[in-house]
Amino acid sequence: MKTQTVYKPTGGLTDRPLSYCPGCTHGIIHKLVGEVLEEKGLLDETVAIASVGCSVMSYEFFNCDTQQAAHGRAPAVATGIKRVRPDATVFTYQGDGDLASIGMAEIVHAAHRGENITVVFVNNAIYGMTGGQMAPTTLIGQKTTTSPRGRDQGNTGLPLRMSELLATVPGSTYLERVSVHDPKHIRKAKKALEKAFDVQEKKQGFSMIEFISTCPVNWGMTPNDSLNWAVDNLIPYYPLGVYKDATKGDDNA
Amino acid sequence: MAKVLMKGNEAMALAAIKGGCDAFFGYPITPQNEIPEYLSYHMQEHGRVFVQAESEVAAINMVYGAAGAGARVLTSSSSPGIALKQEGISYIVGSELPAVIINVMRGGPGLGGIQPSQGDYNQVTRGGGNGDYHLLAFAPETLQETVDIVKQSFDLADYYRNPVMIAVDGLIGQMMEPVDIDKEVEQKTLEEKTWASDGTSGKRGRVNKIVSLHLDPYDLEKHNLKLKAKYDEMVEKEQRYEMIDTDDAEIVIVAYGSMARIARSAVKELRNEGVKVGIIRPITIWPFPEKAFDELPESVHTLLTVEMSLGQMLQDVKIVNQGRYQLEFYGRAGGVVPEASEIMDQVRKHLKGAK
Amino acid sequence: MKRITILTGHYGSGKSEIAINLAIQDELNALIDLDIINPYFRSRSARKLLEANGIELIESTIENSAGSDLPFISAKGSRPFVNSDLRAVYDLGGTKHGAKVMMQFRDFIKNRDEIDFLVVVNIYRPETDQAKKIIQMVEELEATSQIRVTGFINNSNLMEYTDESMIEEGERILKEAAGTLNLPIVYTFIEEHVKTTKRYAGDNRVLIRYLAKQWL
Repeated sequence: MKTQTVYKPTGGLTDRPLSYCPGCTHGIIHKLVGEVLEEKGLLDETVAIASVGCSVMSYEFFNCDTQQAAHGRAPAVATGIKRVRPDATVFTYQGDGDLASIGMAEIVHAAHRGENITVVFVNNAIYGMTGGQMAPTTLIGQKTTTSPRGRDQGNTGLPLRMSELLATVPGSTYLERVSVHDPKHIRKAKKALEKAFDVQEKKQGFSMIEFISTCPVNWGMTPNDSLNWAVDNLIPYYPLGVYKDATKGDDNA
Repeated sequence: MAKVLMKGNEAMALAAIKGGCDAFFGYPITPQNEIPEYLSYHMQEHGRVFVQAESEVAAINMVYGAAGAGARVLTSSSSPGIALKQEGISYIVGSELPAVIINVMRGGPGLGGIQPSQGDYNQVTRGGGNGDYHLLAFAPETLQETVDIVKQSFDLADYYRNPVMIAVDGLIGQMMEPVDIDKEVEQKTLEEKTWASDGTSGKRGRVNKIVSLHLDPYDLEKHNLKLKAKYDEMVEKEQRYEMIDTDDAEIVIVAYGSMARIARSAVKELRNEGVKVGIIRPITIWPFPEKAFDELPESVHTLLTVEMSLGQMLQDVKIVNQGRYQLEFYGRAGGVVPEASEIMDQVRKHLKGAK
Repeated sequence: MKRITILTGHYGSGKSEIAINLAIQDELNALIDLDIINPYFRSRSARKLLEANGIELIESTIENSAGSDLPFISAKGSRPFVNSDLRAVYDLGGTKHGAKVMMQFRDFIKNRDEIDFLVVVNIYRPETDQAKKIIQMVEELEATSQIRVTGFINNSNLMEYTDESMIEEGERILKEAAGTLNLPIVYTFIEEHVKTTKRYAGDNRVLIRYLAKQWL
């Protein structure tokens, strides 16, 4: 009998089992990043920066050089690496608490300087690692352990839209928001990642792909329900699409 | 090369370039601004990296990234800015990365003032970040000594894979003094940085990870013991100090940095009066130069610690003293620089038989 | 000596010490300290000495707050330009960044013939150790202050290590720059300890260090 390889795990990830809950999309996003780096032949020359949050251990999962950053500081760490090793491919992997709350200054200024790095931003509208507290991206009315009656605008403001915000920063180059709730969107998300790493390879500056993600455990839902909830609630507030493309003369754009 | 006349901050910046600094990341704060200003102009000439970060917090994390990628990295700041960097410093130590940090100290606490101070002694020697760690910490007295130490510090940081801090009070940052910038300094034999996470895993054949996270407590304890072994080596090998006029001294002043300069003037005049007084001048403040205290002659009865702070180094003198000598203290704070006459009065007060 | 002398140059070139020396030696009415660059070692530290010599000190110390100041410019700094009875020396902060504060007073300056704008040079400062660097600095200082430089002060020294040969070497390099720019050397300042009978370019003056304390 003849055997044929129909599926092979990406070489972009190590053999370590992922430390993510069932139904969480971190696994899909990890796989996409790994595939893109492998397919582009960049793994050997990449440095990944893990942040603080559920993906704190991602330095064990990406099969490339890694550094683990303090909470929110991944874009500063990436800046340090990229400035002294401009030929390396450098990306950060950050959640919404890390990037949009404690790390707001670092992400805005990395974009503002036009750092030639790629940011993989995973937005699930909650602090997962610490047990489901309110994030800057938590929706109005969404219940968390620190917004037990639902997020209230008067007390906590409105959810922050990071892709839109960074699109107003003159130094940013490519910003796209994607989702991975079904195969069609997963394929689209992969294309977006390819584009972001292209921007970096061509030394065109700062790129960020924002992934709408889920947190079935802290949202208190089944994996399927959480995907549906993301589609019904997160995507309307965080519309998918390209928020900025300042690349010039690029036919893939 | 012949001597040139330089301002302290400017001399430290040039010394860093001479010491092989690849990259500088910093944020403005008085009284150290001439360091980033000088480097913003001159690093480029040498094809090196200069970035003005958005904050001290970002700057130290850029240092962490660049050091993790194998570069020789510098940051500089002043007291409240150093306080902001403490989290990053703890991460750099935890990940065993080399880095050089210059602290041009001013008065505190809080926003404090901009006049010279030694009020960061605890911040420098005890660390403000979390965990069991130390920095190799120098507190030089003259611009020549400062320049020599800055040049050496990159080697020392690489050798120990631990940050080195050079703590000078604002006076040394701002004063002018002739220096020979090219004076030879001792160099360490260094190993290649095969641990660096610099995006060359292809050539290396394996991936490198720079982390300070160890979730298994036994694993983390092992890591702490490894760090401790480095600190033990520093205590053994790196204590630096100068004994000044101690051979027949009855009173010995303990002072570092600008305070030691002022103490020298006081000792010179007191010696002219026949007073038997000397100085122990710590050059490293961590490790604290305990060996110096074993070299004191039997004639000593009193140690007078003088600081531009209110008894911070005194704690270390107490630990080392172990009841051997009478301990006295004199300090000024908040940016007030004592006159030599104030120290002379203190010495006279503690002479045997003095009332 | 013109009615108003403005001192500029690289930081650490000796402007503040020279300003105090000129004010005392020439019995000027006012010293205006416009240094917004340095936090320490500025001519304002010599307040008592200046006042004892009948010289008004104009600077930015906050009133009723001993010794504390912010890097702002006192509006009183325009007074010598307005009151033609006043003989004064201006001490600017180092480099073009220190010189740009003169723009503040541009509209008060009526008669430029009354003003000497002098660049203090110490060739033992690495940033001014060659004629071409000095020339470039003069161009930058003029561009940011919008005032024509009228001459140089040779203050070449290595503090206590200074000897005659260093003053001469300073004069040689400074003459090269001065020749190119067609500017005079107006003063040579000589460290107190250098007992020389030689004559150097311009008016020869002894430099007494009022700001550097004995232990510095």
